[in-house]
Amino acid sequence: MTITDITSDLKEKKYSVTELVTTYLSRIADTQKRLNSFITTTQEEALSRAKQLDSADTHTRDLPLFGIPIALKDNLSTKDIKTTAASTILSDYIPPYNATVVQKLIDAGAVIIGKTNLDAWAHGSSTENSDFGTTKNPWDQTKLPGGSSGGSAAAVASDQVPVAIGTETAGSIRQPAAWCGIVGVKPTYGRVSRYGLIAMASSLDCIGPLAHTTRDASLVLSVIAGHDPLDATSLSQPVSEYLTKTRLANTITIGIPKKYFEDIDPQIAQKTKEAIDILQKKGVMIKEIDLLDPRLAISVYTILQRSEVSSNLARMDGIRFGKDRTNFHAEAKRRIMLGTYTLSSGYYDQYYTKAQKARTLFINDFQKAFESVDVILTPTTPTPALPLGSSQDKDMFGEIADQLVEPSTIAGLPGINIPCGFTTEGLPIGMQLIAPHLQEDLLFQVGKLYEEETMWYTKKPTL
Amino acid sequence: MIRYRIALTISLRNECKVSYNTSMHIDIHKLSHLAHLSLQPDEETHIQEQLEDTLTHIQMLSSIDTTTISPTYQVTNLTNVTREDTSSPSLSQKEALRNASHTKDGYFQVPAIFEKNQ
Repeated sequence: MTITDITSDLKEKKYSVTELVTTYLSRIADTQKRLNSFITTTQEEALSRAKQLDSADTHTRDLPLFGIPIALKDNLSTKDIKTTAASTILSDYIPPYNATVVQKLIDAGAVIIGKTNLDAWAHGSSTENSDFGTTKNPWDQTKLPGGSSGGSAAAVASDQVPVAIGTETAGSIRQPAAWCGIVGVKPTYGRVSRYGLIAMASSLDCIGPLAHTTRDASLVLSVIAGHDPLDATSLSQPVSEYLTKTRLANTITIGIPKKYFEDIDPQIAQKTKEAIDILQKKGVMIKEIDLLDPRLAISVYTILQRSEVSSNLARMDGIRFGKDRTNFHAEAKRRIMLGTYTLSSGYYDQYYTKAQKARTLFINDFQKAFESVDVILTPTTPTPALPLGSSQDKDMFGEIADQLVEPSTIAGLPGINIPCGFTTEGLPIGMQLIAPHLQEDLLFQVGKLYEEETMWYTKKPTL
Repeated sequence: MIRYRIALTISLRNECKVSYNTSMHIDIHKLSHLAHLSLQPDEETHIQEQLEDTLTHIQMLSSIDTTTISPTYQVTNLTNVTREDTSSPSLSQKEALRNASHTKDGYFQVPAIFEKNQ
């Protein structure tokens, strides 16, 4: 069910919040063993909160997310609820405070139903690096759900929750959304406060929603976005009222960068082209554009990310919280080691500074493109969901799987994954839209235009 | 699907015209000391190979000409973000210490740094 449906049902008192939460909790209980999408479910807290909401006043009932069950990626701090980042180091960690995002969701009436699986420390694009086991793709349990927000994506795709929160450093929302056939939004860097997020690469990390529809995603983003004095990088510009004022389709130009269609799975290229045709029929203008080869971003992103990872994970000393550093597993060790190398004396300029310079080139490249187009459309991933085990012992698996989203990430731009069909094997395919800074509204508008025509979200996996 | 990734890597390498030598070498002991990680001997060999492989891959960066380009360290355009120097509600001492493995007299307890006779 979508948030829109639930809100309308709750208004009409078709069921209570308690009944709603109970239904989702039993769906999780029925499917968790097969999918392993949750690390923690908060059954007691959720039911007690639901009971409280059922006796709430009319003011509370008007809250934008009143009664909506929501899952949170387990790298978001939740007061008094275990938060592991899917790492053994934090397996017993109970945060004494809520991340700003979590507090905003609670204040908007949402019911936290559990914490979802991820690659440990969000290091990966498969969930195979989780210290709590791999999450399975609901469309085919022999396939990966993508990652690192794989638990959140699988939970939404399998209707364990109507909506979930994920985080993305480069691809960790859009890629699992694509592989699981749902909408995933990576907002502009700084649009959503990172306070309380267990940091991966601080100059890139973003928090965003995974949902069935663009409308649901826009609703959740409007709740969690905004300035936060607790995050010095959060932006103070007012949050747009997404999808309230829409531009006419024939005033929107979509740019298609041909480099993003090279060397990708032909079925993905084909479905994305069909989506472009549908949008064109809806009236939008299509323009071919030149952008830098996305594969050049792999090196830039890898260096920036590894460097910042090594710095952020230096705080894991086992003194104030968590276990000691002997509990890091292979992927985190590899990343810390490479980041330590690229930041070390004698190599800093050669790697980190050089990558930051190349980052400027990508920013300029997008700026130039946005002089002639409003939004850019590309496939989200080079392949559909890969078999379980594909990422094992491949030190650059994620960076290669996420190559089509890395350029927009290093430029801090907002992006969205929109489902655009299925492969002949029945695996979901996603396309991404990229907009200029703070123009998430355009992503939702164009996404909705396409979605209304195709309604892929009505197709469900059988579990 | 794998074949696309392979094709992709090969075409990228050709495009970037990077010479791939095997001289990339990492001092794994020094690095693990700096990173404060203790590695088992078999782990050392494995991680060293993987790091050298990754470094070879990211040499593609050298094909990008950045001589006249300034670095971008953050993308928000924000500068000098400060707050009023006033106190505000914070965690209690009990809450702050809740997850610590060792505490003493209401403080974090850490391994000794100096010897007693120093």
